[in-house]
Amino acid sequence: MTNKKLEAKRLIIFILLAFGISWIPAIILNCVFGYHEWFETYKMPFFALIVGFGPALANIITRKLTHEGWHNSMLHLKLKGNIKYYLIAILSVVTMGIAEGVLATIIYGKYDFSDIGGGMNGMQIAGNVMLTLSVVPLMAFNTFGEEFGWRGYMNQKMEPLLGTTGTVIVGGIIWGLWHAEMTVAGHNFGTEYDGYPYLGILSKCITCTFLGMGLMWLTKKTGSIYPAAIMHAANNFGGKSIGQYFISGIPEDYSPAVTDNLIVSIPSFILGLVFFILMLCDRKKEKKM
Amino acid sequence: MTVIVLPFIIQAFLTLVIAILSLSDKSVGDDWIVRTLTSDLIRIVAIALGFLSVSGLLLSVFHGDDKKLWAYFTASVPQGVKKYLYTKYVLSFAMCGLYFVSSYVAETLVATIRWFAIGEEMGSFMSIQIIIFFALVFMNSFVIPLMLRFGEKRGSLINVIIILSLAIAAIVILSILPRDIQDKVFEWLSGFMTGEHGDLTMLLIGLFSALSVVAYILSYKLSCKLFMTGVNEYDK
Repeated sequence: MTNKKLEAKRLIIFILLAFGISWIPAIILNCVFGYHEWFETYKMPFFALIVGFGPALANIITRKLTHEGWHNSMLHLKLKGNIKYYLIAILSVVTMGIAEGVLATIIYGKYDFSDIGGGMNGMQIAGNVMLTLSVVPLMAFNTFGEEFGWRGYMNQKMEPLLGTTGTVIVGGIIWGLWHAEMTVAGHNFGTEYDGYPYLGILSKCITCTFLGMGLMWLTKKTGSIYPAAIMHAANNFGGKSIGQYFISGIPEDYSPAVTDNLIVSIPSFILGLVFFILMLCDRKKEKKM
Repeated sequence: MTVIVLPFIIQAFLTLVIAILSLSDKSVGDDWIVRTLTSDLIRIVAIALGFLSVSGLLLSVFHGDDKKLWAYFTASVPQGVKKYLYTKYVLSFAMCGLYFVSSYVAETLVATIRWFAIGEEMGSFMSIQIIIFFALVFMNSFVIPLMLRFGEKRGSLINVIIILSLAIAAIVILSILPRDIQDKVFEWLSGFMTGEHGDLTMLLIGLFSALSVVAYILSYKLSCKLFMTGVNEYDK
């Protein structure tokens, strides 16, 4: 078997396992208990952990099944000379959050910046910000379950086959589709929107593709999956919440549509493209050398 | 491996003890075993004991290194003292992280068992575990330089003396304060624990987290300077 064929085989096994390990319990739990009961409450948190660690488990099982070994596992911290990338992992998400908050105020708040800060005092804001920034790196263990699979394995297998651009797009779509079970259950956008569930799944694929650009760049720059796990944790666990202090002028009862979320996410898409261009530049430099 | 397994062992041991002690009291119903095993009291005591045990385990990273021969060998290699201490500090920090992860996994397991066994949802102690993580990091910032300067045994002893002195000083100061001020202090502390001073609590926890990390980095710098000074205190 040629090297490419072997890598393609490993990739397919990984994708099947990642989807299987996560989807099968999620489908059963959604049918038996309902999404809200098992995922949004603290009644069965262990199952949420298992579902989230599907890609990581798929990585481990695929390596064992195909006798690949642990070469390029990207499990080392690689701190030396890379501290700036660990900081970029958190600060880029904070920046995205602030930019999205400002954009939301401009578009949906009609430039009404009078309520910046949301009525909170300096101590509340400072406390919120400091707590969020200190907790986010700790929550990276949660997102490690995904990053060890997607960036730690799938991207590495995909890039020799599809190139950097193909990996970003196809990898992002696969990642978005992996969320589909939860998106359909109402995890990201609820279930009461126009175009349910297809628009929600499409929106998720788009946001995953652009977020994946930054995650992939960080992983390639450091040779470690931890910065990507931290960036992912920052995105999931409140790194963007700092942006809420920049939202103003939007009525409290305003319920954003899926398309509104996409529009407000434009700063994140722009940042993702910046990371993508940086990756392409690095690739050109490597080829010249 | 110990920092992963320890939370589970402590939880299991404590629940066994409480279960045995509760044998005579079956008034809570047939599900008293699981209710007792997964109660908030057991969890808090387990977290506290886990904290004490792991704080001792973290220092075992330096166990046996307080020998003159090893210290001079470390100083003589190309990477030198800085690389050696860097590795130790990263390992110690990673062990704190591993303890946090294993505690969290243990808690999710206990919460799930409680729900399926007796149909009750547990509260999350994630915030306590976060504080404990940063407390471990903060403590190590002081203990490691002491150990490097004075050797493992003397450094640990000095650490215990400092902690006990601070605790005694706090108790003495509190006891000599006027009664009304004492009441205000306890009221404030109680409010802090229950989240009444939500804004201040968040700010203090956020500041403490940042302070812990900064203290840990400064501790590394200090340890690099103190390393060769402490070698003279070591055994052969």
